[in-house]
Amino acid sequence: MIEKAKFQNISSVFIISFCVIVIFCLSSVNGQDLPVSFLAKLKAEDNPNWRVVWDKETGLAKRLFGSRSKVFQGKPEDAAREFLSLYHGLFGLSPDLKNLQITESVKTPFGERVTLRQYYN
Amino acid sequence: MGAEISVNISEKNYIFSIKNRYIQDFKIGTEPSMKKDGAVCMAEKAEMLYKKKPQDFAIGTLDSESPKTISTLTNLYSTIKNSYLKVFYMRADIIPLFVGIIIFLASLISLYAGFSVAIIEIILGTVAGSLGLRAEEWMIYIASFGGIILTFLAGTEIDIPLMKEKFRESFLIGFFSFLAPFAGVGLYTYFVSHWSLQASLIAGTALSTTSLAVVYSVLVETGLSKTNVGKLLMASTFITDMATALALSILFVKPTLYTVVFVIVSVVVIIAATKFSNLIFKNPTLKNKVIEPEIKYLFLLLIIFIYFANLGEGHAVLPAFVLGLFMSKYFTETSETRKVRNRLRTVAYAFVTPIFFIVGGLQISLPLILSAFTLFMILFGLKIVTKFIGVYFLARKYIPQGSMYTTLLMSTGLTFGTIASVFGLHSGFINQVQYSLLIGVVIASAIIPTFIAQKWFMPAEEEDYLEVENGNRKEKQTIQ
Repeated sequence: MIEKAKFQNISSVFIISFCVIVIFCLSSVNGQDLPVSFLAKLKAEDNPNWRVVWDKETGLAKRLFGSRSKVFQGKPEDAAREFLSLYHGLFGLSPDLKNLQITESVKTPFGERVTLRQYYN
Repeated sequence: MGAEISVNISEKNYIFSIKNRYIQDFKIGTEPSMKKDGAVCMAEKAEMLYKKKPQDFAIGTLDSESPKTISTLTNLYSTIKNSYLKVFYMRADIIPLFVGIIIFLASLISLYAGFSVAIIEIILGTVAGSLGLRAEEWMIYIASFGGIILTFLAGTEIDIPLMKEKFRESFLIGFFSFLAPFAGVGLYTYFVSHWSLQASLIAGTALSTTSLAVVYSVLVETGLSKTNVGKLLMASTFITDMATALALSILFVKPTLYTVVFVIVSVVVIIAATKFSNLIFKNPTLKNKVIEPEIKYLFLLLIIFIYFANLGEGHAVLPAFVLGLFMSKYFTETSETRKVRNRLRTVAYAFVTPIFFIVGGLQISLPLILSAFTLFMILFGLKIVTKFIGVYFLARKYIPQGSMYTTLLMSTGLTFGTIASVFGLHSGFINQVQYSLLIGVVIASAIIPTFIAQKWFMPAEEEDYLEVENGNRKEKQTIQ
């Protein structure tokens, strides 16, 4: 009985420690690219009035609105790419915007709407 | 999976809004997606050219009667290819396999480590969620069903004569277990964290709950469900949940006609099942058969509750518990039909309830919790401290042999806490970060107090005591 209890204690401490370590490793890795830290960066660097609607499934920004960014150089596509590259973490994109392809660029009454599509497995 | 991002750029070349659309069902590999893009581009180009020179596109016909453009053909090809890929990926959906592994692994760890399987399932669910596993629709339904079954089973364990006899005790413990955290958390989030009044009320409600499912699972696994401590604990938990449900209903829910229908159906089902279940349980044609008609009958009753609860925007937990309570006479240890409950428990614990706990773990978004970690810790601490204030002193008076154990288990939260948080989010009373914080605290409270209670505060049962003579009076000592 004592041996069994000892074994249970050792195994329980080991398993709980393992789970805690795994969770903390994962969370610290995840924490580096937190969408909210990118929002803080955006507000600090660009404009504090930006507002975000979060996607409850993914935890990423679903909509970004309420403000104006700085003026970008080049074509609208380049502006979109540059902005997304700066604040990629907000939308769950990789920094190099790999696999992000422009699928549509449409004139609107306010300017232009560029639609990009990202594929990942 | 994929994402589609629409960026709105003004004529002066500044960005004024972005829309990010997450496409969950876009299950397509890298290689086929390139082909699909090629096909789409080709189709677009072809369509443009066709508009300019339709005569060049008289080729590529499916039949001589109806000429088809290359655009149509390539789109058709693309659609067929995507449908094929979707079918292929659905056929090889790996998530059920992962879930199966987690369920089995959790039971092994639980048995070797000596902890409640519910805790292990929640922890593994959290780990899997961090690795990218998401709850699918079938899992969410089974999870909600699992919560209802656990609540029903908890109801069947209640000893009605004991509950009547100890109603004052269970009511006081249960009510203050609700009131102290509701007031404490609500006031803190309103005055210190400056949440809105509605958000503070949601926070207070979500963190005032006690998880009947967790309490029941732990008590059954440790064999305490048959003891007076266990029965009193379950009755008190029910009172807490009842108070939470009432608070949520009074403060937020606007009853509709369907809510009335839900209440009426619940009452009718409970009365009918209590009176006429004999016709099923004692019918020689139906009882103890391999195809388990009795279990299916109980499932049907619970599914009726779930359906009408969804219709009336209520929740099936309360009628399920009351049904269990009223049907407990069928499942007493001396009755022949107690085997039905044991078989139901087997079905539930083998597949349904693990999914309930795993889905609970999957709901935790560690990144969002970490983004407001200090507040998370404060809310968690606040829940535990206020539960302690509300429960411990009463428990020490009424359940002296397990006062700390009772306090810790009454601090657990899961089902109702999640329900209140989801309700707050969907109604727009709380935002995404507040939601993640509340869910995080609710689920952390399902794990940590249970772990501590099981490890260090397991109440000694009557048979663990040895009466010894000490002078003129008898004392009880615990056998070590």
